[in-house]
Amino acid sequence: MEHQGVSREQLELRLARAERRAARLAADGRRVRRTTECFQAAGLALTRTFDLDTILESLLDYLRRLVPYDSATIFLLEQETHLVARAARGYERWIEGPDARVVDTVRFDLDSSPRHRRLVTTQQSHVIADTEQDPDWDDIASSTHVRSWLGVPLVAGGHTVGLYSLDKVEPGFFDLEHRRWAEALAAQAAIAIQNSMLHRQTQRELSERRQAERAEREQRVFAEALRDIAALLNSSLDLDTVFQGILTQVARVVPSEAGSILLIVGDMVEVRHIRGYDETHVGWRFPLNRPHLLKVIRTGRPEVIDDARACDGWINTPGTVWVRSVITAPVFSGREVIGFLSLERDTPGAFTPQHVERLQVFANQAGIAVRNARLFEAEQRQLAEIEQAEAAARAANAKMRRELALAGAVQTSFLPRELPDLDGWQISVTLRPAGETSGDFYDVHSLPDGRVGLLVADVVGKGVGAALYMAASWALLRTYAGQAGVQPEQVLEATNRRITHEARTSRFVTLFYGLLDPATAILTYCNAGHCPALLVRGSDPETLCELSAQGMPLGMLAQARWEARTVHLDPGDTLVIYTDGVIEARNAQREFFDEERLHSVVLAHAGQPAAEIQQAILDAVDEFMGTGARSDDVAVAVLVREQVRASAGAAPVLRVASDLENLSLVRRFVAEQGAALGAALDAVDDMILAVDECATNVVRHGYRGREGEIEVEVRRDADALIACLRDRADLFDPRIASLPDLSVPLEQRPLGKMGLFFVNQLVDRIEYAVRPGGGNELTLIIEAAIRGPDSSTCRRAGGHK
Amino acid sequence: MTITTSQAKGSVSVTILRIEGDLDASNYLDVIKAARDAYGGGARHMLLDMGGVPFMSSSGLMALHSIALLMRGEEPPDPEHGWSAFHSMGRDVEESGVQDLVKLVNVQPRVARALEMARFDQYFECCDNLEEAIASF
Repeated sequence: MEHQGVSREQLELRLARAERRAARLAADGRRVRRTTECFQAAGLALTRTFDLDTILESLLDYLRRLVPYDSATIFLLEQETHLVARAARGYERWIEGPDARVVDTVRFDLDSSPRHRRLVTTQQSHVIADTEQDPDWDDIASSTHVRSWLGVPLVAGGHTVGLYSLDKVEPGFFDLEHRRWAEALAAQAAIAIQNSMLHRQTQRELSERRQAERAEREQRVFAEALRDIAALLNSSLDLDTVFQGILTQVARVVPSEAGSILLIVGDMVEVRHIRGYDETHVGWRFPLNRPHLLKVIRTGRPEVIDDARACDGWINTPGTVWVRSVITAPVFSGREVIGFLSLERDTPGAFTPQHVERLQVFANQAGIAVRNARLFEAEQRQLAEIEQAEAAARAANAKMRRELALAGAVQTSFLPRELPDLDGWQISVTLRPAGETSGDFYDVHSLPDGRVGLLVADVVGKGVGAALYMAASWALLRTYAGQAGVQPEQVLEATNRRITHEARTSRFVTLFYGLLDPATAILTYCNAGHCPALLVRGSDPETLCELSAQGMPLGMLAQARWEARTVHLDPGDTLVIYTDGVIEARNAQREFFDEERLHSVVLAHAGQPAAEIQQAILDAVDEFMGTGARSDDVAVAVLVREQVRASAGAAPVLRVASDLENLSLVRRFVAEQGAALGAALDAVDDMILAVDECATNVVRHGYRGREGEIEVEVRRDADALIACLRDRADLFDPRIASLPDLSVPLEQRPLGKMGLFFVNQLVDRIEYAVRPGGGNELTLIIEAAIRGPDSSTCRRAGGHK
Repeated sequence: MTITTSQAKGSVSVTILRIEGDLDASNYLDVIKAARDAYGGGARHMLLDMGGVPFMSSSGLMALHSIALLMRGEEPPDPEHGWSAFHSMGRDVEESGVQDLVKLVNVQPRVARALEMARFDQYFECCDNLEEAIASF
């Protein structure tokens, strides 16, 4: 079924996919926000103190939130040759005894562990996905439980100060994202560790030498400046804010008239931030060809120009003519120099080695700021993409919901608004969807030939998909059912072929489809995997017959076939067709309503008007369910043949197709009408056999395999029971046909015309007429078969046995 | 209509065909086919249990007649060619009288009436119960 060029099935799939994607994106967004917040918090915590142990413990805390390790060790490098474990977590869980104590007990030469040595020398993190497969793996540092390993060097200002090693007991645990966060945190941590060590050194110097008050204040200012800038670094991800802060803070500890932060852009250098210069310099670019800058890049160390005027490579700009001393430190991103932090003084030889060291610390901060800003920028971009995708998904979902609401409305419009008004019949149909749309449906439609189609169907499954499938099935069924002379199995087979051909889903439809000929009271039906329809005879109100499935549901197999069955509905008969929502309704105890309850309701109300029977069923289901929510659609159709009214004028007439299969219907009709007229049983029996033989002859010898109709009418005339057969077949007058001579012994008797012989034996009179327009009218008369109101005797009352 | 076949052992082996439902022009060929299958399986004595047949038309007579021919080892004429095809059959059994290869049991009143009317009761023995019928072969 097409809907704005897209199949409804596809639409539903897309909705589900879009909802899943939106949920995934939202989860991704939350995760990214959480991780970014954690990272910022880690930076603040690391710079809040100069105490090394606190820094390392805090580092392990935050590390675990970003990279959930099983155990971890932080090593610091001593004398460039040894690693000492200074903090550790998680080993007691995996290792018993004193080996679990890693801190300060594990100390080893770099040369004894290739994997650790590699971290220190390459300054690159390293992952071992499976320690059992890795030739470099060694059991140094209580690591027998480790299956995957992530080592990250702690590098500050281009120098390795230590490393941390993260362990996981499962192989293949650490992914790119783990590695990225571990590296980012390592950059922050390395600076915090370096600051802490500088501070400790300063403290030591202060106490040991009892330096002058000025030096002491200077150190304090330096420490504060460091802390301030670190705090700034971690509270703001805006690069300009951080750079400006660095320039301000560095001036507190390294006296200078001016300063700038320069960033390398391709083969140019751009003045990004300045202090002490004219603001117009910001954004100015010059070629990366100044010898002292090239040397900084080459060595990775700060470079000092003691006197710019005596320096060959120094190029003055109009704003820098006053400059005499210059100090320039590299700004790293990882191992790459991405820019410079530069300070200038108007006196030559103004910068001391201590200044150089301090400047590099600030330059390192700038590197971190750049790195964080880039990380943040990437996250922001990712977040923006996620939000954009979320918004798009929301918009698409809303659009689809609108369309599906429309689909529900369209679906309701499928159901017939008015049911055909049939004299002598009552039809009542209802559908109660469990949700906005329904997988159940019904249809009652009049055919051009006077028959009435009655359809109750259930698309297996619930919700929108089922409803859309229903709509498609309904449209096909109605298309095929609307043709005169069509048989139910033809409708089913044609519909089934289309459904299985066009719908590539695993859905299917169970249905009961009947064609009622109101004139003959014959219902020709197919039950395709549906709940059995329930028939209660007016003549036997205690018994319930089931019109069960004879075929599979539609939509399962393209070449499926169905066989129609016929049932004659007598006056007073009740037929109930329903969907499984009735018997599968559940109460609070999770019990099913079940067929037994349904059967007893139907038996209790059979014979009542159709609408009342239907209401009784729905009420019983509601009462059973209590307050529980309906989980399935419910459809109930009731067909009742009204009792023949005594004043009915015209005699009932049965019309059946010329088919030997319909003989049983003919016999049943004669039996019912005979009984209704009050004829003696044996007279009725004789008439049944006579009519059967005549009808057999019409099918066999009259129509001779051609299609045709036989009409049977049973009436009384005074005390006579009369049956009349009409056809449009070849003309044949049975009165002039020769009959077999039964005086001849059986063995010599021709067996032909035995049926006709029977008829002559069974009835008292045969009348024959050619019908207007062609065809035969044969009238069979049994006299004195019906006890008249004035007669107390009956010829056949005693029977023939 | 349903037809079930079973075996019983009297003085000879008897095949019992139990028929359920009205026997009319729409299904009498099914009965003939069941008998033909039984004959092909070795059946030579056949008992038709008519306890489940409330109604039988002249088509049923054709079925009975064909079964009698089958049990004698003759191929009955194609019933679709009409009753006249059966003309020759009678003469063959002229001397034998009531044939004893096919018998009926549990015949219901309306069916009995049809048999009587056609005088088929002279040709097919109708037994009252199964044991007696099996023993009579």
